[in-house]
Amino acid sequence: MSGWRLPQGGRLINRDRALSFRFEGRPLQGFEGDTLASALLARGTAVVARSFKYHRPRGLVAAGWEDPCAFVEMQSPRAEPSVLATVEPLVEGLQARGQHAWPSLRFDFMALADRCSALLPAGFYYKAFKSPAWAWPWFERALRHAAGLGRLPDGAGQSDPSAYERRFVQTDVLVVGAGVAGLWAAHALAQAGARVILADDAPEPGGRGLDRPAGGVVDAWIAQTVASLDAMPHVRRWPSTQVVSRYDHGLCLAIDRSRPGHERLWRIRAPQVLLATGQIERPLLFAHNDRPGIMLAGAVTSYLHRWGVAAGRRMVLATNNDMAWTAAFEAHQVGIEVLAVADLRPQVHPQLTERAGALGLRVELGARVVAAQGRWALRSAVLQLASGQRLSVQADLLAVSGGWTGALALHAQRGGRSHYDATLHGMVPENDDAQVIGAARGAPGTPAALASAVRGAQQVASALGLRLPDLPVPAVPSEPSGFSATDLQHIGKGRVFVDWASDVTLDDLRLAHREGYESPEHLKRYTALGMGPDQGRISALHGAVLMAQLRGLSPGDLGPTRLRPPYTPMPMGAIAGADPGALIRPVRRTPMTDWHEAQGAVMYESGQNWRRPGYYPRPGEGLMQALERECRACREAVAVYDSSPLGKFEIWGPQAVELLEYLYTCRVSDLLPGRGRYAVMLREDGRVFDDGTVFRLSDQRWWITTTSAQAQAVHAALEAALQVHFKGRLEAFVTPVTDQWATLVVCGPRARELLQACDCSVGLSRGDFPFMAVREATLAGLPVRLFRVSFTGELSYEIHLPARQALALWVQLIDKGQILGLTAIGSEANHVLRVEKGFISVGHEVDGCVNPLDLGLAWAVRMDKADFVGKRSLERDLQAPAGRPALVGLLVERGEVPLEEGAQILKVDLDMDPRSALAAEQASAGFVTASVWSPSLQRAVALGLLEDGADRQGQTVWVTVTAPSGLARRPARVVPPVFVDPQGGRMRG
Amino acid sequence: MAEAVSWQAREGHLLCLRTRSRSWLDGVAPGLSSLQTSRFLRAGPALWMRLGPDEWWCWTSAGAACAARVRQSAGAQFHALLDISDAQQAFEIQGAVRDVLSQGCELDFERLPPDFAGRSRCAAFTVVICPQLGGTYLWVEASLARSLTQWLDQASRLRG
Repeated sequence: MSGWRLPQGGRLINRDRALSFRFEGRPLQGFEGDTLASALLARGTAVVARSFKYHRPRGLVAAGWEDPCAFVEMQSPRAEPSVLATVEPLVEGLQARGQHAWPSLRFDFMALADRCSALLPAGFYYKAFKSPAWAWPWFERALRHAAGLGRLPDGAGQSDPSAYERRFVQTDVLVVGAGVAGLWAAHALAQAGARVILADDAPEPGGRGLDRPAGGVVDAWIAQTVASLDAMPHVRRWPSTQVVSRYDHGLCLAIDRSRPGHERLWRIRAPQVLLATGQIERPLLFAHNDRPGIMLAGAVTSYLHRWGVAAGRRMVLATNNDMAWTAAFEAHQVGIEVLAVADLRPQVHPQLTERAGALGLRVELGARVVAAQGRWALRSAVLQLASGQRLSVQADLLAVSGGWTGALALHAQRGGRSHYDATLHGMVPENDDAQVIGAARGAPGTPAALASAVRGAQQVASALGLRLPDLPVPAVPSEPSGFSATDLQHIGKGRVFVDWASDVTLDDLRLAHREGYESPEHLKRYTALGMGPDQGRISALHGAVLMAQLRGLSPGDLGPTRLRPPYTPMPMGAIAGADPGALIRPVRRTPMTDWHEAQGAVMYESGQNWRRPGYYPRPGEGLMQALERECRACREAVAVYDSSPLGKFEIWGPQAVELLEYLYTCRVSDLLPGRGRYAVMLREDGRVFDDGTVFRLSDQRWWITTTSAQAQAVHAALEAALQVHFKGRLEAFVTPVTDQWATLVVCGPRARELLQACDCSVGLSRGDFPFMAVREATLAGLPVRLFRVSFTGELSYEIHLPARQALALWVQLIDKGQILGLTAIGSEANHVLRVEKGFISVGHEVDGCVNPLDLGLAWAVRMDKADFVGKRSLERDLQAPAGRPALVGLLVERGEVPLEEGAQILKVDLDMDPRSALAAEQASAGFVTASVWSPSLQRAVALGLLEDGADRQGQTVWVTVTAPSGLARRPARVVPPVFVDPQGGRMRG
Repeated sequence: MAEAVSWQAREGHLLCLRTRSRSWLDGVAPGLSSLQTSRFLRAGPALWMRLGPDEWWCWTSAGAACAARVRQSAGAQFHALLDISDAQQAFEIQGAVRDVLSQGCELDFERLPPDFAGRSRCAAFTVVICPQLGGTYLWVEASLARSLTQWLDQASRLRG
């Protein structure tokens, strides 16, 4: 192909603005409005990429999204593989290279695959490389190197200079496609009063009209209609915007590429959608039909009229339909030498032959292309004439057209049905679906397309309760539009490519047929037909028709596989939109988060993404030193902890108790106002779901706490119980108050002194305020709700107060506590302290597989209650307790480092031969759930879940440990899980 | 030049009322018993929003008086009334609000009824939104307030 820029013409380009770019390192120039493909073609570039499998040189086939070959790797302004040159707007400084070539497009090492193609038929990788087995890793490396679509940008973490955003929009009607049918329908519906979005992937409206010479009757009508649409405030006209996906409930996704370097994803809600998506041209099947210089006839006219580019100098047209003849006529008019027009049909519309005769074109009816020659650029096309003679024509451009298929992807994505039309030799939507209009419906010619637009618009207007105005339809003369079928007969010798993107040949289809992969779905998986980045836009129907012929079926008996969203590739950045980084999952802050950060705390995100302090290192301290100091403060003096993320709910109502009895394993009805209890929730399968506390504030008011992570799930469970289990009949309401109430925990033997120092308004003695009690009080003059609960095993008060007042109290506590040795502690210290005390934690000991009995919480389960969630499943566990895991403590020798959390406890005895133990008995008997260095005990301690652990107290078990040499193990002694204050005197004190 | 967008945190009392019997609600605010879901009405200094079949929020500068009125009207009727002023942060957004919110919110602002007030989603945030109060009012969980302002900041830079 030796393309060239015409001295004039090109609807989409601005010849006053030249742009410099580089392809394969070569400096080139194009114009504003060019695509990379049109600019390359204008500079005579014949080969733009190599093919995926055989690495054959490939040129431009089409002018839009249907091109199966023109994939390039963008190097600047952004690094991105698999960019389609035919739709990539040219920008100043653009740099790109051809894809699937190494080290260069011209000298590609992997082109050897083409020489060995006989050894690489469809599915060869299922049959080869099976032996010798030892060589598989080598084969795999080689295959992985060869596979893949393009290379990812060099340099991990390289930022993408493109801007992305995502937006929602609502409309009454979405019209996809701004050809004459789409424009007419959009205009009519807008006139009727509907809100209309008109989206088209081209930068200018007109559809296929853009591929015709400017200045025609239709152009004037388009300009007038567009001006009218643009004047209506309830119409959004979106050029360069492609609707890529269509889902239920009127949801469509569209990518707006109207601004280079800025991609916007529209999420459109449209109760009515009209698809004026046009048609896609199919190629012809003949030997070596993938040579550079072979281009769809419609693309030849697209390049001529959209970008003012002639795709070659000496052209042959090969077709089976009337519409493609236009390419020959218009090419001739701009100075391309048209050497022959070969039509498969023995007879065509007389208008065509008359016009060809008038232009002096050689016409061969009943003729077909049987071969193409030229590896880097087309040299000649070999025609088989009706007489049987062969004619070799020296040409650098072979325009081909095998007919047209409706672009029905969006129709299919919503479950729209299509069938093969024997007259049009293409897929058309079912008759009852008038929402597909224009050429996409199979309407032959502009008048028929406009007629279908009228019907579609009327149906939409009716659905919206609108009355369509009487709008004139532009008078467009009809043109010849006959077709003939593609067939397998008389095809010459050589490889015939059916799917150019995946390098699937006719022989591959025959092989698939012989091996029984006959359905379109199997054919697709076996040969990769339709699997390439073009998703088989120009090949899928060919594949289905050819397989039908191989099976002796009629063409319509097999349709192409279902087209799924998205229609064209979507950048991941556009999907993420404007929510990068932390805003994808927003961080929650407590009233004290600023304070923690100001103190230099190491912050974690945990639970429902709460930003909370892990620990507060002082100068020179690392994690372990800070932990030791914080834990000692809690055990020996007093500590304060920001526990605001704790899930909190108020439950009101005379029947709230019934709800709580149903959801918790413990009894709550016997709680008096002012008292509370530790409580466990189960799932239906009897496994622990969450734990927390339940307090009775007054006769009909309850306060429950949950873990931070499960707060939303517990809320859902509470509402589900109310609305589903109790069918909305309980007089009880649940209100989440996690954000309303901040939670400050004061813990340690001097906690009581600190509260007294802060002028606590209620008595704090054990008698006045016992363990698991709640009091309404004031502290430092602020109203608070005081709870006596403990997660550290120490004397502890949970102070709940309205969030806006929390920081003031926190600062007071810190201030007043200095004299008592107060230290703020983080979640790391909290974790150590609770492990020392043997308290469970959701996510560690509660792993979704344990029941409360496994965790030693039988005391928190009242099996004598009539019912509670999970009771039935728990009864089943009780009947077969053997083999259940049990919570145990694990001790390693003094001076040894802690066990690893998650390490497996092996199912072997200590006295077994270590080698046979590791080899034969690597089955797990449990795992380490939490492991810490205990400042209180000055040794490493751990909690674990161990099969039949209750019966294994005092035994030594082997625990795995990661080591440079692989799996290693170390001994640990099974002990009770409470390491500090087993009697609980401290927290009850 | 594109219209500017600004937002400000707003302080006020927020009450959450839950009840299934609505007959007594007119004693709290005339018309409250017949207020449809996702609609608001004004009653003196109070803005009442019905967010669900049995859930109303009251945004007011006089929380205690409003709560007293509820308790008085309810009498023996079962209800739950909680002060959630600290649980939610209110923002008032002025300017090209639709342009900014359309980046994260799926509401059809052009077709919302003039008395709309309802729960929705804006990016990763669950919000209560009331677009027709002079400015657009938006409530979000207090713990997420700063993240929401970061999102608004980013969305306002991308608009247009």
